[in-house]
Amino acid sequence: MAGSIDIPPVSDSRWDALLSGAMRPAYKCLALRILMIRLTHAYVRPDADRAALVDELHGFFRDNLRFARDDFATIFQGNAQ
Amino acid sequence: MTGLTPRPADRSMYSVAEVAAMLAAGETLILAGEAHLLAALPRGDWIGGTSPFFMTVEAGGALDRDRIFVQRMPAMASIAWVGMLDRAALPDMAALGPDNGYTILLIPAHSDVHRDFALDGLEWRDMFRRPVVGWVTGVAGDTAATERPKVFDGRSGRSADDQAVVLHVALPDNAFARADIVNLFVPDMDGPVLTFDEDTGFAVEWTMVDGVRTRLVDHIAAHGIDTRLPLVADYNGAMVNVATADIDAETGKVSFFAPVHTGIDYRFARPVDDYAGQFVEQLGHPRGEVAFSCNCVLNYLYAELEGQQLGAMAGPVTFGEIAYMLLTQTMVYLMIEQD
Repeated sequence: MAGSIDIPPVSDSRWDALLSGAMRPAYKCLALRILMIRLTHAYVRPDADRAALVDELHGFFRDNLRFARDDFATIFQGNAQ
Repeated sequence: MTGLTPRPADRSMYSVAEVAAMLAAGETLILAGEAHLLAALPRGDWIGGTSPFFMTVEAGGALDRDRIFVQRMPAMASIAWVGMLDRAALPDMAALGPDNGYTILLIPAHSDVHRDFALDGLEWRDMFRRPVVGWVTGVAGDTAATERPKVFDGRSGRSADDQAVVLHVALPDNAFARADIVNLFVPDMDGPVLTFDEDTGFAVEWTMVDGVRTRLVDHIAAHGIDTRLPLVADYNGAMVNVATADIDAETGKVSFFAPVHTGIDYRFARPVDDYAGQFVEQLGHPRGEVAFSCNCVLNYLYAELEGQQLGAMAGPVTFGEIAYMLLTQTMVYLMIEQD
């Protein structure tokens, strides 16, 4: 349900930046706030499958972009710190 | 069954005969009430769970043991899948859902599925593919010795105290669902950080208080903490409560209505002065139409909500709330928006 917005590919470095904590936007939607707790904790484990975690976050935006569009814009359209 | 938005109700509570008539008319219903009422309903497109407490349109907070609380599935929606899932099947529940829609999940308190969902639900596959909301079913305190919390699947006519009932709802392409919460509790930033590494889960003895290993029961006693106030963790801006259930005087173990997890910073909450007033202010005016809501029995009891209105939000008063994960002392709601 991504509509006409293109979600960056999983090779985009911003996915890893979000999961590693290098990029820390203020999330608005409940689902992303909760999901990111789990994903960022998993990402820093030594045995983490980081590619799978990026896939999961990418999939979240693919499936939920309509209610996560404000967060998507913050992350991928230039406002994240 | 026409129209594109959920219909606002002028009341929430109905007799068994009135609910049976709705089912006969083809409505899909999410129901709450005492077990003997739900057991008296005919088969049909409904799911239900036990609770005798409600936040109603007509009377605000209410204890009602003679009527059933009704939430109608929006007319634009359709059932993608409905049924009971046991402990083995529940972790794969998301695979049964639609591409676009939401999931209503009812879980009986004190069951293995309750425990599994609370401890591991966030790890279950595709749990964030679509909004998941719901509640933990329970019974009134005066019947706790003789009744068990139950869930009901109206299509099969079955009830269970050891399985969850799942309703996957499909929405048309021009609509989408969004789950959110209202939680008035915020961590008291003047208080210490509590972490749980040695003990986790629903009952703990030891915690780290600002990094110092301490028995939680001693910390509570030493600081005169009001355990009606939950532990609160900041999940990227979402305040997630862990409400205290009991303190065992003999063992010193503190038990909770939801588990504490390792790697999370908790603080006890600041008191909330005017629950009803602050609730309406924090809720604001969310976009879309309300398709589901529930609020915690601890808010009902501690904030003395009987007879009080909480804006337009009506729903069962519950023994744990679900918005992707198990929450406590929180109001959960689901909105339907259209493109």
